Amino acid sequence: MSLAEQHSRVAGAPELSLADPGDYFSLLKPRVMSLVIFTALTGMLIAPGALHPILAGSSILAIAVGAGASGALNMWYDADIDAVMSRTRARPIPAGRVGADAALAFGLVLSVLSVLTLGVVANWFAGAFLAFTIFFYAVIYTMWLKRWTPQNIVIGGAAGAFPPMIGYAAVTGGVSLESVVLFAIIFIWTPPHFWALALLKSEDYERAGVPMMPNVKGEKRTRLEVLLYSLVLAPVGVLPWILGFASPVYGAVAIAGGSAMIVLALRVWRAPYGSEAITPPARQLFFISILYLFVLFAVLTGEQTVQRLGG
Amino acid sequence: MTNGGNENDELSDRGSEFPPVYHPTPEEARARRRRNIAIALAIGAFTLLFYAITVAKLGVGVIKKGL
Repeated sequence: MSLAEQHSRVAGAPELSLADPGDYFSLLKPRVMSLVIFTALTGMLIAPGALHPILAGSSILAIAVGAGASGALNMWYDADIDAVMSRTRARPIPAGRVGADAALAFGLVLSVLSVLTLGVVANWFAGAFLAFTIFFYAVIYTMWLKRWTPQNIVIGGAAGAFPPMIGYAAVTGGVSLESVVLFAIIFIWTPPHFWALALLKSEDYERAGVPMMPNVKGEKRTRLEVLLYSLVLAPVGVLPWILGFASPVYGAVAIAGGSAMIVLALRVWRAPYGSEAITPPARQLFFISILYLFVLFAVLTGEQTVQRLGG
Repeated sequence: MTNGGNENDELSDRGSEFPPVYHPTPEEARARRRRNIAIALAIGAFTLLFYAITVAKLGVGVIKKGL
């Protein structure tokens, strides 16, 4: 076969990608990024002192891009799982829009850029913290825990809980009880949130071979764990007020929100067994848990913003 | 040069040793153009961002009270 024939289009020459910039943006998990921006901003605002607005905005951008980069690395590694799950099969790699190698390169480049940017803009402690977070999510959670243990999202949830601590560290260069409390709220929120999803999508996870709690320990154990974590989450959510870095208004909102989470978790626990019966309470808990976390951090952010603007 | 025709023949013969130039389909060309524009915009934005960061760090100071 001549060289011309080997490289002809008809003979299977390499094709150029048809991916749009939007496909690459999808790799970053934009909805997760928006949550990271929000929680990192909260951490930044509760920190004593402040950064210049340009430096603060750049730090938030770097943290968000770092979170997006770890999302891209997750999508690269989990392309095989994503292809068999209804929730994820439309993602860019399993859908064939972006190649796996391109996603890996994209994730690695953004990881390095975001860490270096945060280090230069804020400080190297925050940069190192972001680097650790990316490593934790991409390697410890994605490559190890997710496919190995039903406690995957409990431990791996730490990655999603680090952003407020990174935002805090961007200002102060360190951590504090306040930043650890914000971490704890998200960390304890993660299991009931994701196990509610797992109860809804247990067949998907079974097909993909991911050892989620309902598939490994059963629905009964999962419902109990959802309830127990919600019982712990409610008082932890109130800690910012108890420790004095949030107002009584926040305290009232946290008590109400925590109570709602417990009520919904009780409904999940008490629901009759059978895949149809669990769907309404699990779906309700899943969506309300998102609202709960958003409202808590929104009130914290709002309070701190008003305080700073008021001098 | 008077032997231009012969030189062209030599060039043609040498050209056949190399694979033909790859021509993207219109769809591939459009997608590549969109990606190139996005990369150019991202690099431009990154440059402007670092200019602003440099001014902020050197000109105003890193820490100041309040927003």
